[in-house]
Amino acid sequence: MDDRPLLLPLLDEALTRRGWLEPADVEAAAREARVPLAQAWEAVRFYPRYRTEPAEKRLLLVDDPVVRARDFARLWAELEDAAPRAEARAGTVYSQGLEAVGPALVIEEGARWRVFAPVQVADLRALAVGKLPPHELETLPAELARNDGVLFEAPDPLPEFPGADALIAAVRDAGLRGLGGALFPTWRKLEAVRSAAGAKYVVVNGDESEPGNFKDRWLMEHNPRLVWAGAALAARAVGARTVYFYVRGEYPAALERVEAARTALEGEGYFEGLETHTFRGGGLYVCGEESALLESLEGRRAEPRLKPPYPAQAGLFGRPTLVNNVETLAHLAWIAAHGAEAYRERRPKLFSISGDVARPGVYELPLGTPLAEALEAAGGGLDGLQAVLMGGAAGTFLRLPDAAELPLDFEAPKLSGDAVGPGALVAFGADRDLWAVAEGIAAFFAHESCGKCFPCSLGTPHLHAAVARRERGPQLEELFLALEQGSLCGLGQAAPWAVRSLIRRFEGVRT
Amino acid sequence: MSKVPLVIDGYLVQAEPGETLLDAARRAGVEVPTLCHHERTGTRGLCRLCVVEVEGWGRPVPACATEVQPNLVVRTETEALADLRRVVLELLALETDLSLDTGTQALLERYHARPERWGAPLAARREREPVQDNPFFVRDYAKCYTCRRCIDACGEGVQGVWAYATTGRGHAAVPGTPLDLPLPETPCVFCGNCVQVCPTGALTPLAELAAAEGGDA
Repeated sequence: MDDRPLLLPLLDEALTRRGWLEPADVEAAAREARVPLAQAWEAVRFYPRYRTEPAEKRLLLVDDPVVRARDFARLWAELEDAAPRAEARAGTVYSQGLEAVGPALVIEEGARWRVFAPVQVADLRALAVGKLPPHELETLPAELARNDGVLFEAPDPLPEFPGADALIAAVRDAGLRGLGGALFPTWRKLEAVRSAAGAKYVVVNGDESEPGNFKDRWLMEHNPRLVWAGAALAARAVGARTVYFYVRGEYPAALERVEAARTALEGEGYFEGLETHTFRGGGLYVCGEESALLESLEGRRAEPRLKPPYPAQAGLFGRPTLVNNVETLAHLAWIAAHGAEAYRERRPKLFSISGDVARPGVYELPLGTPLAEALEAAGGGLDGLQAVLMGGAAGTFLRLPDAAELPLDFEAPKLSGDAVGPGALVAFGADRDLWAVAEGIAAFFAHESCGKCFPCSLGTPHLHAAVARRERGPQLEELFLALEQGSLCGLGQAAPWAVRSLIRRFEGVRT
Repeated sequence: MSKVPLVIDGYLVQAEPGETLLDAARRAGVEVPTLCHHERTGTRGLCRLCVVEVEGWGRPVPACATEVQPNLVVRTETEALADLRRVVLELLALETDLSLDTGTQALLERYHARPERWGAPLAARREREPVQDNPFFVRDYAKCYTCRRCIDACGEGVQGVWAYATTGRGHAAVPGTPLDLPLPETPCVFCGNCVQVCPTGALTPLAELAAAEGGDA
């Protein structure tokens, strides 16, 4: 086993100490992590938080599909106007899991990151005279869990390990799949890692950065014990001794609460025989891609690896690694406690519902729930809605009422990219500009491209430019195909899905 | 070990076990286009020009990073692949100064690329100033499309000195040096491997540049 300290936490220590990184800090971190200085520098020049000079104060408008459909332009104009007078720089930051409570503003001062939501035009104007917006938000409000979901309850008692055979069989019989969006049968990953010899790892993917999704954020902030229980059970099932919980870099409250739950569970003896770690993620969308996440844990640029080999074969430090999403492991813990049959009767799934609904929030609904019913649960009547963005930025627009009866289930999609995915549903009223949403999504992909493969790094800026021009036609279709068929990972492959679905399903509705 | 039989563009090929589709195709006389791959470096799967279709598989796969398997049916030149390659080449030519890169110029012709149909460049690559920080070669990143051969040849792949580092993300990703130091202040030993493997002329010996300028005059 590799006992070298990890690079990113070393850089973070220096960053916290000084507020930015000096060359000597980077050299010291590289030495301690025993990596070439070049590798440490690649990390510094990749992850946005590793500044190499004192940071100026920044006012960052959170840019997500909900605000794009509403008054993004107006809020932005106001912020740009107010920022210089507040002696700060105006900027934007992509989705922060705040779609249900936005519009949101981040004030960044040194390493301090304060979130305010909801904010209004008047609040932004008041920034110019030094007044902070009235509603500061440290965590997602716990009440955003809107119904009586079993996944919203802390595990009591903590589930016992039923043995590897029994647990994997239960996960298989339950029909659990990867709920980060990939929907891969969980038991097969468990089996693959279990059958591998030697040292292995379990990694919890808490890098929820898919716009429109906030259910993992809710779980990490309000029910981390359930997720840790799932991770520990999975580790025992596959025979891994070490667990890393990778928490999205911009979710400080989630990081704190995941770590607090870890310490508590360790104190209770639940992790006996296991080594557990909480890890602050790199702070980029691509970090959620499982192999990029592993690269980032290893202290490199978070760039997706070529597959095969898959992480179950060669993952963290080349060892077999089980990488599972936060929600998946919460389900696994519940299955261990209540059995496959009880699970199959419920078929629970978390949905992040936002946009033009009366009660945006996290809903636990049975898989197979028709789309209209899910929206109604959140107080969204069909009559006022024209569309739903399903899945997230790497998702598609569904047209209403055409898609009203669509069952939200794992079934095969109609259009490439149509999938329940991680479970985001962003609803848009009749007067919302879907092209503005698509433009925001295209900008997001161009910003988040890691720069490894050519189709994505070259194609996403041009996709953004084309969507900004409201372009359609055969040449744009060529770009869609180059991205979808040519890109190395899911980021570039998914980049055209939303805008393509908009053109195919809504063409003629709005020009 | 016994050979691996597979079909590439209709030809039955007896490949070596462990060989890539790219090498198997080459030995069968099928030239699959590629930019980032180099036999001496570990760079692969980046440019995506070498993606090929395999019957029964979903997305096309990079030939340079896919091992042969018995009885695969591979197509290296279809209309869909040509369309994909054309788009990538066009955007590449739009954004990058390929004036010294005769290999890519030939590919642009082969795929009838028309970069101008994508409008103006967006990546600001062409505005990068050449870096002349050593007596041997110039680093002109207006000509660089970040295939990372130089980085790999310097680090993991060949020399093991790590005088280069990839900096930036997305279209702004570009080779740089640790702490952004001038090359002579890095572990660089001026072995010249990076210049050797550079396909674009972004790394060009000063002597060659001088000769070219002299020739023009």
